[in-house]
Amino acid sequence: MSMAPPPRRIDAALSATAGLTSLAALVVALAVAPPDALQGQAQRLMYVHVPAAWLAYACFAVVLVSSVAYLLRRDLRWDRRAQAAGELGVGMTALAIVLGSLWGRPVWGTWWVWDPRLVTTVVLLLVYAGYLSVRGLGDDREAGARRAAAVGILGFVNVPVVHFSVVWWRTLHQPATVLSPDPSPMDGRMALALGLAVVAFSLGGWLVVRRRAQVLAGHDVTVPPTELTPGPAVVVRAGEHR
Amino acid sequence: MTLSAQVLAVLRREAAVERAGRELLTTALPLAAAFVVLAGLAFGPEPQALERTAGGTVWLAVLVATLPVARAVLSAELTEDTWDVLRALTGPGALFAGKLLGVWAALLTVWALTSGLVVVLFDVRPPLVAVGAGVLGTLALASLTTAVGVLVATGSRRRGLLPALVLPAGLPALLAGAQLSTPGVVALPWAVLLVAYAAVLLAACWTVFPALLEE
Amino acid sequence: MSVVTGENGSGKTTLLRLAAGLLQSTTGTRTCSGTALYLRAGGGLRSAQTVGDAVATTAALVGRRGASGPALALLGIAAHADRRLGTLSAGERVRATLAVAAAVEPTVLCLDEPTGVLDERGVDLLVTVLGYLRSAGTAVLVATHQPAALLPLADAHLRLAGGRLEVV
Repeated sequence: MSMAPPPRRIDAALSATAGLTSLAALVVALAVAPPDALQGQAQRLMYVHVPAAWLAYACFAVVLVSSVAYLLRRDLRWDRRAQAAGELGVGMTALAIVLGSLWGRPVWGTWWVWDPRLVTTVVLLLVYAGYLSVRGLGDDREAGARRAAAVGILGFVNVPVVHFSVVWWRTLHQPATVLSPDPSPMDGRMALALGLAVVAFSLGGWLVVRRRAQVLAGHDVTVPPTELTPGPAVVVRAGEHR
Repeated sequence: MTLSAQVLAVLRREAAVERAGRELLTTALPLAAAFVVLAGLAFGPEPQALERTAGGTVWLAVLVATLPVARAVLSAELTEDTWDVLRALTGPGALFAGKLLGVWAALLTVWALTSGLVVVLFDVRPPLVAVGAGVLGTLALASLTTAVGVLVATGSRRRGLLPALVLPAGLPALLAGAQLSTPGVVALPWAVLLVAYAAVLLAACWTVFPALLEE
Repeated sequence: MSVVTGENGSGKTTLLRLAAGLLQSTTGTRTCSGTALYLRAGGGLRSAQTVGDAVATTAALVGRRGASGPALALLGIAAHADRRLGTLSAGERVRATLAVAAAVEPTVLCLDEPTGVLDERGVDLLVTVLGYLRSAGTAVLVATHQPAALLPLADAHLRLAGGRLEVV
């Protein structure tokens, strides 16, 4: 189950591009993009809030794909990818919720609204916090991986149903600006800042998941299969007396 | 043996164990009854408030009852050392289906009891479609409880994790069930949602269940 | 029929569970043409049920409900059929476990430590049941610390030591 030596160059290239994009995103978001006409400076939280939410959803999609791949292949590399993505996803979900709350306070005048996207995100946080806890149910490494994969799959397929149930339950969120089919009213500089931030988060997230999976691989290093030579085959059968 | 004969054998054994031990009768049902009475005290006594909260109370009670149900139907097999026998003598499909039907029957009983209680104590008249919601919603929750219950029970620690996993994932049953139990709500979208929810959960739980049986 | 011996922690239970197909082996393959049943002596039945009900509902899982009555009689616990399993003594519980094996008649039976709590008559019954299953075509693998009573019946005596299985 040991992984080939990690290609350090990919890590280095990822670190460099993620760092540069983050810097560019920071400059454009803070200095170039204008403050929002209605929401003022608080709107700049969007440049972190939206990418965090995007990265969280991407992470959970990675958890789903890796979980399915693990159950099909039974290769712990997929399990480590799933765990690394799950951990980052939970962190990003929490970040998105906190930032959304901070943004909502000055704009909507409240920390929380019962909006589908908010509720779905909180349910995601709960489900994937559970996903991370499932590994502690026992000591068997493979059993933990199987349980986690099952929760990774069950958790994700349920998300659209959860979302739609809250949509029908109540809708009062401002329509999603970028994703709405209407011509985008967003300032070009704002869109640039947001785009750069999303790219920076994605690259950084990819790097974090890669590095974390490598660290987890270190924990999984086991004794090579066995030095015992196999004995003769044993056949158990019903039979007559000797 | 055919699959249906095996499923039936698992279910009959389930019924025999419950008849002998009365575990669900003495744990899940009193819990659900206490839940409804306390909810009435918490939200009442104004009739309008009780009317508004009746549906939600029923479905919260059903969700909470998944914990003792999972204990009686699933984790008891592991603590009593009978899980290996079930795994050996039945296929994963028959075991999943038999246990699912056992959990479903238990949750349906809880739903029927709490629904009856809110009709009497909260003085509400739920629409007929609430019955359909009860059947479908408890089926969806039963498949979730069966899969997650086995998942948690086969562990050696953190056995209390079950509600933390089941409750958030049970949100659609809570919302759709509560809406469909409330008079005057447009039923169709919620019915469609509940069908989709039950189908998705059944398929997903059926798919992952064999992996949970491995050791 | 094979008897497996070995010190505590030598891997007897693991071997039996592997043979029963409950555990997946990391290397090697396992083939089994029918039902493989692993039973830990005294386990395998829900304590709330009566002896008769528990054995019958378990045998019914493989369509052999009718075999439970004769199995209880074979083990000398037919008189206890209406008692709850929880009220039985340890030795009687082992007999109930053996009744499950006799009723189910699996292709492979992996029996874990059946001799520990049995009295003399119990050991005689164990030998009778294993002999019956053997003649019915069941391959039996028994792990025990007291092999003496079972060896006359056994085709092989295997010993687990240091992760190796040796034929004694």
